[in-house]
Amino acid sequence: MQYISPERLHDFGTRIFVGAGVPRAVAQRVMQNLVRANLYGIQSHGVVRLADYVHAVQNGRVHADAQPTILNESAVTALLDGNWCFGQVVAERAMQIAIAKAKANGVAIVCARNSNHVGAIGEYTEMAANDGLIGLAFVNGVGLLVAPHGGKARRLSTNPIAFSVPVPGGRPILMDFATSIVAEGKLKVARNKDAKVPHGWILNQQGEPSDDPNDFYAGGFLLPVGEHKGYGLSIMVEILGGLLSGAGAAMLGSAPSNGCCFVVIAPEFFRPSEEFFEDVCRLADTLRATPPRDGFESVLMPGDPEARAQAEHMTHGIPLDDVTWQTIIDAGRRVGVEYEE
Amino acid sequence: MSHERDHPLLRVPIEKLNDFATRIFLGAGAPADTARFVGESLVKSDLYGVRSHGLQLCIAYLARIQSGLIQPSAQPTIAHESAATARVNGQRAFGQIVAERAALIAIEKARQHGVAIVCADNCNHVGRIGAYPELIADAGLIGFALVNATTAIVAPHGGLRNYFGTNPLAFAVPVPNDHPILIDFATSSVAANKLRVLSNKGAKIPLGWILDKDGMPSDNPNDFFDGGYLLPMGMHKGYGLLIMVEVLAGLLSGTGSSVLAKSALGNGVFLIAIAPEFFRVSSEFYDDMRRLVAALRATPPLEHVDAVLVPGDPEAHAAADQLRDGIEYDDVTWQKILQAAQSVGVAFAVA
Repeated sequence: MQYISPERLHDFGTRIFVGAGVPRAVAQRVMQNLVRANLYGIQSHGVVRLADYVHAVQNGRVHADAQPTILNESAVTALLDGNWCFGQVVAERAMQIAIAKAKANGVAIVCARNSNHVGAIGEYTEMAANDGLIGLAFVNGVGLLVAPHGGKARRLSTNPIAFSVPVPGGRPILMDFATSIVAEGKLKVARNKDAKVPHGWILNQQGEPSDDPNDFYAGGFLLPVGEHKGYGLSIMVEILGGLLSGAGAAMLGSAPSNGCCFVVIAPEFFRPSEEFFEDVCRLADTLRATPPRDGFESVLMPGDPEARAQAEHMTHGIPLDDVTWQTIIDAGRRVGVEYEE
Repeated sequence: MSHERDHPLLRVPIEKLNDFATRIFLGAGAPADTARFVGESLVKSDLYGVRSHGLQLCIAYLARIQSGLIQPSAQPTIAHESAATARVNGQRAFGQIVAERAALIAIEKARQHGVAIVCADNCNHVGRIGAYPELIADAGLIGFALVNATTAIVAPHGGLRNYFGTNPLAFAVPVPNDHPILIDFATSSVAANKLRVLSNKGAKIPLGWILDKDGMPSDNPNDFFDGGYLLPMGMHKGYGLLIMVEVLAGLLSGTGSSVLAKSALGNGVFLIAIAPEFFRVSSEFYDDMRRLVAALRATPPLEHVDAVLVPGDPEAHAAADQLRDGIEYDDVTWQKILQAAQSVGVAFAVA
């Protein structure tokens, strides 16, 4: 296990991308997203993806020089063509537009297509919250992993949802989760450790309940969270993220990209915002003060686990297992970039 | 879909029920249009098989009219609006009237601008929340609804205090030549009335639905009613959704939150309407919707499952069945409804 400071990791990754021909500003933007995921403890969306991203630049799937363009817009809506640049660049631009429109008109919805992987989506709703606004994100995925409720074939991806609200004097409420019961990364971790997974996470290829993560990789299925409820949420993400943007849906054979749908809301169009934010503060304080049940230290707000992970990793560095670290070192060497201690 | 067969069932034609339900609310002092709208909305829930939100709710509504919580003649007003947003003051009218008005405003604004958000406060129980996204979908738009509920029966993830209502979420999208996709569910692990049914039967429930009064997992539904806790669906994920509903439907609307005070009135409402043609040629969008629904329904089903459904299919199946054969009531529920009707001088038998 290596512990790398976030600054050094950011710098190293940026130099690797630049070495691969990515403009520096774009490289920094992408690394901000990856390092944030690691800081927040979301290893599955962190620098573990760096080598794949570099590869995507080299094989032409990512157009690192491209910029998203606006296909159509109104006072409160916009549709972006990501032009296959980095997903992080597309998503940031989409959220910036949504923020500007929501500030002017109270609400905005911005969709994007032709976008590469956008990374952990909570970063974009957090952008809205950092600007004093409420943010919602729906992003449909590329990989078929999840079976519909009652079904025996992969039709859906892990299709995440994110939601952020500013909390004056504190960190925003930040909810960011897959609508499958777990992210696929957790199955990978269990498989690599030779561990079992709880019943209810996956079915094997025959559609029978299984606790062996290998069954998932042998043609099995990941299940939606909360049965028909998560199935419904996943369909909602497929429609808002995939179909409304025109990105398409993996089950229809037409989604090589992350389809994005961002909604931003300005509270002052509904209530005096100081009253609204005072209520949000009280809500967060009250929930955190809930007596915890056995096995829990305290009741957390969505975003608290990320904040704790961040504090820990800022102090002690970001933990990277040897395999992950080596793939990054190797990706660097292929473009003539070495890590500097 | 399982049906409870504990009591004898009767089947009542929908026309008679709509007439009966309308007369009940007329008897309670509602204007004709309001009585018809509220009455028919409750009957429609029964038609869809959503019994918890069916005509039996007239019992609670009549009690709320009596106690002054529902003002049967009131009409909602617009407290504040901009091109794409509005906040509706429900004026303590029937929740159905308030939420319908909010949905109509959202439809009009979204048609003009592409998206609209409408919130409502001073709103009584809105009934089946899916009705409002469905109304938006019937207008050719995408509808999304959140409603925070005031009865605090759900605990935060990891906590021992019942702070939230079952805070439902609903979403509807039109599908050409089909019923809309219709998602409508509580963000708690299960609806409280379902626990009541299982408790009455002496049935066990899956671990993970409730905790007993000591905070220990339990498979006995009685433990919930004996000072226990209802859990969020999917642990921290449902907890996140409960908070999202509380913030958007409760706090943004100005209704308040059961986490902060027990005195909030009825349901806080949050609606989004989206016009797909502001993003794509709408025929292309709807063509994709048709293909999506077809692909999902064509999924090979699990062993014990007849077919993979899309959200809204169970409701559509129940409606088709009951339009043909009459709407089903068990004897106990039906007698309670008759009694409530009688209290406002209304009999079922049509003279």
